[in-house]
Amino acid sequence: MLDCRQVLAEISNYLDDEVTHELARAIEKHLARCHRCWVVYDTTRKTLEIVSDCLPTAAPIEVSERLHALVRQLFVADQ
Amino acid sequence: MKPGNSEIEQRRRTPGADDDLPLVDRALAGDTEAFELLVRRHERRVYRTVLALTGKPEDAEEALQDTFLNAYQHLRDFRRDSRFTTWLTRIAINAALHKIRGRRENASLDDPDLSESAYMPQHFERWQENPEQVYAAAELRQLIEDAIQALPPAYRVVFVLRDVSEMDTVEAAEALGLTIAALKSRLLRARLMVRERLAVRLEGRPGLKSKLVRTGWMIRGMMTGRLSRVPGQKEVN
Repeated sequence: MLDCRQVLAEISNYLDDEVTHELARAIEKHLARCHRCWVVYDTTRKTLEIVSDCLPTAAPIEVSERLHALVRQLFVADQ
Repeated sequence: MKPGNSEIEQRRRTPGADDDLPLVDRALAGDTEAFELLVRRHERRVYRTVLALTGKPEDAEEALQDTFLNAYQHLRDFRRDSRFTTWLTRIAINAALHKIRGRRENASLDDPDLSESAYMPQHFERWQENPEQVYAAAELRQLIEDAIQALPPAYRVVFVLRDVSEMDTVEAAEALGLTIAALKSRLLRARLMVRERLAVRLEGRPGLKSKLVRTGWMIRGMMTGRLSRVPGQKEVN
């Protein structure tokens, strides 16, 4: 039976699906009966969802255009 | 379960694993279009990485430009013992750290040897079911950016590579010269620290967007002469 400290140590690996099948089942058993560990697991999962959803996925178009203009200048300077 | 430490060596030995190499070869032979294609292919991830590391759009733009300038000037030094994207990420991290140092802020990637109290969870309340629907996107983004900036650089860089730039564990460990175990240990702590900062704001408290929605309902209630139940609030009997 895992205790809270052992579960916490594996929460990140569990979220990344980087634990063995047996360890995953043991973590799930603990989470089903331990409210505090379940909250830490659930809110860490939500944290990663928010990070993925809220940060910009690309540079603004003008930033990208300035980058490509700079790269083309490099080519000219190189010739 | 994903593979462990030996995966780094295995990936190095796998021929054809890096589909950037043909473009690198063409660029080295003087094909400028090939280098531009490499820029197009990687600029999104590099920007996301340097923006999250520096926390400032103006620094991120300069770091983005410096990354590709350096990559172009040092392309011959790319030894192909790692993937091109790993090599490029190392350059991007250095460009971002240079900007952070320029602001006279801590940019050391040495593990600051945190005490447990720095990352052990303190908040154990559930969060609102859908923070994305309750908070304005800009408000959530600011929360996240502040939480990432509050991380010590050694932890920030791990969190950014794995959870912002979405590199896999092996590639992130290789880019940072860390063992998989060290990377995972820092990632766990970084995630717990970011969660803790968000918890302070998201534990059942309404955000700006929800406050505006509730205020709108109350004004409507007053104008129609009855205060109906405000969504999201418990009914008082």
